[in-house]
Amino acid sequence: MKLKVDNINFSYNSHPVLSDTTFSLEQGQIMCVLGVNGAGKSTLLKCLNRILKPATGSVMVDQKNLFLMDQNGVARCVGYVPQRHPETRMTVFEAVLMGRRPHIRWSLSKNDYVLAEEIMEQIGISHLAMRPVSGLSGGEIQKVIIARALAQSPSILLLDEPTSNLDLKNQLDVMGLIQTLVRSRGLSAIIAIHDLNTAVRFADRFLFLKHHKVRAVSTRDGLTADMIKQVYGVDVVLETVMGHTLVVPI
Amino acid sequence: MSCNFDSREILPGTITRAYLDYFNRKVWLFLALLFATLGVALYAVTQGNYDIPVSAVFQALTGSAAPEVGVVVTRIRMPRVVAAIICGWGLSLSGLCLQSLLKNPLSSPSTLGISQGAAFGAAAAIVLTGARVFMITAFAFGGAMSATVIILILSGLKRLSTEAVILSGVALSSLFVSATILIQYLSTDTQLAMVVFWTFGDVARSGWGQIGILTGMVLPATLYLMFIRWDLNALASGEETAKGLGVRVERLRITGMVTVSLVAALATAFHGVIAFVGLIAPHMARRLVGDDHSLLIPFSGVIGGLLLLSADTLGRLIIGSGALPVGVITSFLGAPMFLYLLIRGYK
Repeated sequence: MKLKVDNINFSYNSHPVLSDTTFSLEQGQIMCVLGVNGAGKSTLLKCLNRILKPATGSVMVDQKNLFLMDQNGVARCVGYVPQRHPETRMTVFEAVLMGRRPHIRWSLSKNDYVLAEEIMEQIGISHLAMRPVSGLSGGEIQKVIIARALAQSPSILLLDEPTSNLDLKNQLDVMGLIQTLVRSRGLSAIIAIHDLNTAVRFADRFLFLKHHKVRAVSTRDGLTADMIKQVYGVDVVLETVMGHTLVVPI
Repeated sequence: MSCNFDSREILPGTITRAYLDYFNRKVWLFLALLFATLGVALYAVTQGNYDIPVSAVFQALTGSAAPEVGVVVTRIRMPRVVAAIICGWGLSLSGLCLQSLLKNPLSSPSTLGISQGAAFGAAAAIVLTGARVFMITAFAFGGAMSATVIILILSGLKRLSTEAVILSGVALSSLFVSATILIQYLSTDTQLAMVVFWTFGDVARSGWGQIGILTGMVLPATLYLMFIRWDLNALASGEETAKGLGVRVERLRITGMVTVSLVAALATAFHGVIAFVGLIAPHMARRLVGDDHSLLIPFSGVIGGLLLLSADTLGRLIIGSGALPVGVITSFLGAPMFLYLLIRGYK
């Protein structure tokens, strides 16, 4: 078992946002967190790497409880791709090197440079290295942020809406990239996402949140139209077109 | 120890070499700015009511010049020049750090009310304690720190957004200015003249003692900021990103703001209100080196020092005898810059 999340409870000003959230995820798998706006998807991700502090619960990664580590220790295990990225005039290489922050004491080591270069090579952004991040396209920026999260050398990747604001091609590119990275590096990824068709295409497991609680956890094969109706209140059919499952609202 | 660390031994490749070349070019640029500052400093020491040749300046520094030249160089012009550099360096560093911590390009000691707090403290000391220099400095420091504490309480305890913190800084400035005007209204003509004179920032006020104290604050502050440069970089990419990278954001904000506020408070207490250097110099540095604090911190410092020294030297050349306080010149420079930033839409 790679990742085990147990009994997470989180409230904003005594208003519960997550209740008794429990699930697990194997190494090399992608889990998509699904639910309507305000269901607690982003909050769940932020609780997992302690950006928010849940009242109870534990997150075990390889028998180590993240909730007993300090913020820096968590950052060495969990890479995070937030939903919003403020504009910065840092170069792409500087932005990726920043991912090494949890491992840096005073200055960067040779190893930090090597890792950053290697990651940029794998993601295909080496040619952008000395360009300022602010001058890149949405898809390129998303890849830079993913590279930065990978530079943390994590075993868990958390991605909050990584495909929102991207066109169709970039959506497929970025999700395909995440899938390749998760498989090749033996990571586990948890992705909060709205687009059901993208989720169904790339995820191995689904976590449905409704009214701040886990409504269902499913594998790709176990996904049913009924689960989606229960969570979104919309009738859908699951169709298979050229080997890909599609969620079609009716 | 990382969870999933790839430790294969590979030599850094072309990107690292390109980056290190870029970094080294910036280091040379920094050294050039440092030499430019020394050049302007030397020029400033030679200029004045009567010109002193460069050779005589060096003789004065080694103690072999005529006594009157030695006094002018080591007691009058050198302290002024060094104070301008240290004060400009400190104010610029404060501005940079406040801009990074509050994530707002309009943050600086003078826009957050820290300088106005100092002016109020000085005015109160002049009227209430009979204008003793020590009391003026102590009250000015207290006024500046009280502004800082209020900003910290608002940003920390009340969890105000960074925009709200800037706006509360504007409100605070206005409050301190009003209180200062009230004190001026109630003061005698002599006291009024002293208050107004103090309010004009002037680097000619400090002796070597004050310069030593300010340097003792600015130097550790610079080192501390360099130590947290990666945290500042992470924070510039967003609060959530910073936390995701292991930065304890709340603690960073408090320690960072206390450090740079001490520098700004001390600089203002010794030299009066010198507006806009803390705002302009960090933006000039950003233009030169981008948003990486490894370069931004030293560049902001040296540009701040060079800017204030140049403004002070300009003031001396225009009027002579140091009659034009440097605060007036920096305000003339700073106000258009401030408007430019506003028009550019906080970019």
